[in-house]
Amino acid sequence: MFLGAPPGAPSSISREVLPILVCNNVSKTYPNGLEALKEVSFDVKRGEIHAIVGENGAGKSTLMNILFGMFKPTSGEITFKDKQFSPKHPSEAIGLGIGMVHQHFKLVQSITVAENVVLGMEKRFQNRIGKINNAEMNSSVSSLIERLRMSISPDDRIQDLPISKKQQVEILKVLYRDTDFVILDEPTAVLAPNEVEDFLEFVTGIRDMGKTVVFISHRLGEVFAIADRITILRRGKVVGTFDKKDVNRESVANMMIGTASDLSERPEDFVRDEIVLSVKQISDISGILKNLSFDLHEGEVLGFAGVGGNGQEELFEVLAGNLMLSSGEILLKGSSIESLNTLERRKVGLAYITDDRMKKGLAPDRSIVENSIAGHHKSGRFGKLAINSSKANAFTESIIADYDVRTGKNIRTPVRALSGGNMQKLLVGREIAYDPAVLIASQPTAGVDVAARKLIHDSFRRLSKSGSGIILISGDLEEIMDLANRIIVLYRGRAVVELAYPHYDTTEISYYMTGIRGSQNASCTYS
Amino acid sequence: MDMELITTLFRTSIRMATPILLASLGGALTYHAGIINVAMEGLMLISAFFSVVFSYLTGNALYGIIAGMMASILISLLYSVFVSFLKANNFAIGFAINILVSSLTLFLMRIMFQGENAFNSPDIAPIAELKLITGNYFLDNYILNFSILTYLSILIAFVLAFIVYKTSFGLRLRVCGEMPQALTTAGVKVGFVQLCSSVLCGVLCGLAGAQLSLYNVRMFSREMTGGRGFVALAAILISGGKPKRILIISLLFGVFDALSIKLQSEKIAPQFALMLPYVMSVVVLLLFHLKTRKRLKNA
Amino acid sequence: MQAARTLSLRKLFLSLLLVVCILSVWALIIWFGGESPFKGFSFIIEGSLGNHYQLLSTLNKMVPLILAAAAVAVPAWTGMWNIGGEGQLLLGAFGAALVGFSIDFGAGIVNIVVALLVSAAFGMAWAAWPAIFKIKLRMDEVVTTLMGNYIAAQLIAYFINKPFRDPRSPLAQTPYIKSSYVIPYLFEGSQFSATFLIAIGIVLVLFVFRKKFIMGYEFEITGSNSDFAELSGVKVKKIKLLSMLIGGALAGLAGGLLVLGMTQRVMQSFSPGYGFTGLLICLLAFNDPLIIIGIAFLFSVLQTGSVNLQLFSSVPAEISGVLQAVMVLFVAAFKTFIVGRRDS
Repeated sequence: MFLGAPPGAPSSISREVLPILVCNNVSKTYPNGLEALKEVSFDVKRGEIHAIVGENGAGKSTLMNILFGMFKPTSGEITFKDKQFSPKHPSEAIGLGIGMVHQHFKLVQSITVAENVVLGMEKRFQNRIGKINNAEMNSSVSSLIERLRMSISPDDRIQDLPISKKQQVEILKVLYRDTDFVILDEPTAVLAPNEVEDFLEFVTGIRDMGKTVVFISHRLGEVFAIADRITILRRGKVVGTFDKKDVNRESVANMMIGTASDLSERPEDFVRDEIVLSVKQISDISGILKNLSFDLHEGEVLGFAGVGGNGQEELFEVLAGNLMLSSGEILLKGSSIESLNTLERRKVGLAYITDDRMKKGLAPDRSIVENSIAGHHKSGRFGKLAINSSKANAFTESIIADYDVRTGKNIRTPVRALSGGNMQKLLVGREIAYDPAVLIASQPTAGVDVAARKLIHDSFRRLSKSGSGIILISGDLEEIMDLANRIIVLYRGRAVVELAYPHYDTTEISYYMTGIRGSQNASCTYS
Repeated sequence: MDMELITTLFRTSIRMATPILLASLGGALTYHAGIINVAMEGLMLISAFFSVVFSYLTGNALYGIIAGMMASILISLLYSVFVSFLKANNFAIGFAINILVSSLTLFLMRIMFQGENAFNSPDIAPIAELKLITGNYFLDNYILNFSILTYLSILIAFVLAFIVYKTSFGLRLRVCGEMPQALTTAGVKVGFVQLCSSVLCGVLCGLAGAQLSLYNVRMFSREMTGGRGFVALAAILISGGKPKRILIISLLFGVFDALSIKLQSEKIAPQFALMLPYVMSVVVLLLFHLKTRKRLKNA
Repeated sequence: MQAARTLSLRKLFLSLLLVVCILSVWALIIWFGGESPFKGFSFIIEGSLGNHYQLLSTLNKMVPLILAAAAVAVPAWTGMWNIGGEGQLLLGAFGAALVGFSIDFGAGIVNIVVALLVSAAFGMAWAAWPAIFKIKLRMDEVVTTLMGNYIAAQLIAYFINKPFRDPRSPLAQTPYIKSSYVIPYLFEGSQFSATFLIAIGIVLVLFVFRKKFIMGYEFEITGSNSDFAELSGVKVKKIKLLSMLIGGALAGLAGGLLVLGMTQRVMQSFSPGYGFTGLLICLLAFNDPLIIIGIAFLFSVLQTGSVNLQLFSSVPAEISGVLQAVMVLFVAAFKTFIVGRRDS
């Protein structure tokens, strides 16, 4: 079923070719100070399938957006097709032959497949008075659909198509143009396990058509099924670029997720016998979490490891009360809380550190004081009707002092003036000030400097010592291994393994995180 | 029923409907591009003023129409620059423009013509009618002898239906309103598409204004657009921007207008007829949202 | 630190440039109207602030503007758009007139309070249905409040033409309110009444509410970031609804004060667009109650001053609308550069 090359033909390019893309010391620092890419250098050879692997926050998306012309790098050079590459707009990248299939589709729901595909180029089907010849347009798209052996029709409306077919339309959009450099951003994230195999064959087919494919994924089974070379990104840096034949899944997983942490930090054992939170067989209505169960003890830190997109966000939202369950129960100290909303859950003793501090954890335009009292404002500690500003200020100052938040001038400045680390410390301080029975922390030290990270970790230890339970959802395996008494790895919405300290092995955990072990998916049957 | 009465009602309806139709067609274009145009009132008003001025000065209605259109286009360019490029608030700019035009036209009227509330002159050349007496009652009163802009507006409705749904410009227009990022990733500039739609809206509102001041009446008076810009908006919302539906809705609104005038001489309150366009728009939107909610619940 | 200082220097420079631009264009328009700009400006200032009668008149004219702007501001604090101020104002005016010409509670102060409460209630009701549609059906409140204006206008036109028409007058209007309802002018010969004090008082209350009260805090964070507010336990839907109701009440109150303090009835062309002018003022004032007072003052100066301008020169009084609109447009243009574009 291969398109082009007969079965058995070597899938990697062995002849010497000039790279089609060369990145030289490309760095990108966002205006808020986040260093997404640090001197990334690698190259992509013509006609190969080049996989870029890494966890969330490794910099993959930033890199791809730069290649597609959506962002500009802060420094470094890029050469594409032997010429200097610095597009100011996606239209320039498209003009050079680059196409990107985004993770979040940019399809127009109310128009047809063909219209979405030819958008921007539809003029070629126009007659003199401007009428689009639908028949011609449809047949032009049809011929590509047939070549790619897809099962959609050019006059289907997008809103009627299921997700996997919508993805096919996104791919069509890219291949319809004279694209010879195709970027696929986590394409299997939206596919069911049984659809992945066909998809991977399809990608190989694209390569066999003569195009270069850059394939972003964290699922190593898939990567090893089709990639010719693999570049590993970790925390904005390139760990290395390897020919597939020179590495195996395990070593790549290790390089992606990193080796053992420095032993100066390790989990403390304050675990008590009483169970404070009990989650039984939960599945959420979006279908991501599947029959997840676990118990959290008082004083315990329970870590959830996994690459983003495998259910961590859904777990947080379900515990926060924003995402409804389709089945299962959540019990806090024996009483069920699934029907409670966020405010009610806060009242019974839950606190939340969200992973999106700018959009959900804080109000960046409002002052530090206003942010710190959020959630506490109705507790009565600042007054009943009016806000006692001296109490509010004192409360804020105590958080600032305890958590070493560097605020500069005064506490009335807007929060967005703070650095990422200080914002996070404020957020953490505020949530811990609830003295919650259970703290749900998602990515608590993302984008935060080393000192702030240590401080936040210490505050978690203090909290668990006092008997609170902590659910730690993090893509940073080191962090989890430093703090958690137990680790559950999430992959495709399921708990695939549970480990207890001190039986932590980064390598083993990384296998579970990347699906090499523990998942029964078809992708693992590829050798 | 009296035949004369029906004929008068019909003719009045058509007369009232024409400016609404023209403005709605213009606003429909910006609507598809994602802008709810609240400045149509101002666009029509400034065109009404300059149409009268130039028709008066040159004695030729055509020059009046062209001048009105140009004034309207200028204002719509202003609107577009602020909303599409400077990303200012659509409603604030729209109402600022309406207030600007309303005051400006009175200001100019005083300065140029010393008129306080209206400017009237026998030298104002009106828009021509398609004048033809065939002897057939039906033909003479129901098909012929209307303003040429009326015929033009019906033609434009069909032309726009074609443009919006069958051409590449129309495709880009609709995508612009529904998902501008799709346009950007396809390499098309969103601001440009919105600008085009705004200019075309200016053209059509320009025609609407000219029809008001050079045909429906033959003068310029204070606030003579009388809220028609918002009736047009109601028409756009009810018809979802579809030109052929706008044609029907505008005619319907014209009937309401005509009825309200007629009702005034009877004992029934005309205001309910005048209220209908706005009430209808809210009801239609309500039904649409109820249906969507039901669909989501059942999904 | 250095960057912050350069940034605020830049903001200062741009703000000054903005003022210069506005004044220049104003000068041009006055000149076009046939008067020298310097004289023109002085006529405007004289006419609005020249002596204390004129000053009081200018202040009095601010009343509907302040409340109409507040009617937009309070919902804006929670992220809701209330463009229905004009309609809510008309209904509020009608409510006050209705009470005023039909019932008498005896004491003047009771009458006035009841009439004002009724006007607030009517205005609130007219803001309630768009708010509910938005919250329950996710129906955009901008369009509904906008259309509501024109529905209300026709409704009031019907009322004053037929069922509530003053039988003693040839004009279409409600009967005059009873004398005990009238809020009198305070100083001999001046057009300044207690309505001004009421309006200022209300705005000050709003200011304090926003800054000091827990609910005011909830309003603000809901508007700033509703996801964050939700996660912090704020009942976002209730807060949004409440803000719209308050906005409607404020606009209704504006209408009521106009009736009780100035016109004593509802007649044709009752409102020369106070609701829409209020929208513009609110946006210029960044939804801040105190700044609203300042901007309303500026608008009122232009309004009253232009009348004087017309008296003493050939420039028509209608210039005030042009000047106001030009100011709004320039501020909108500069806002992007001063406040900065938020890349989403």
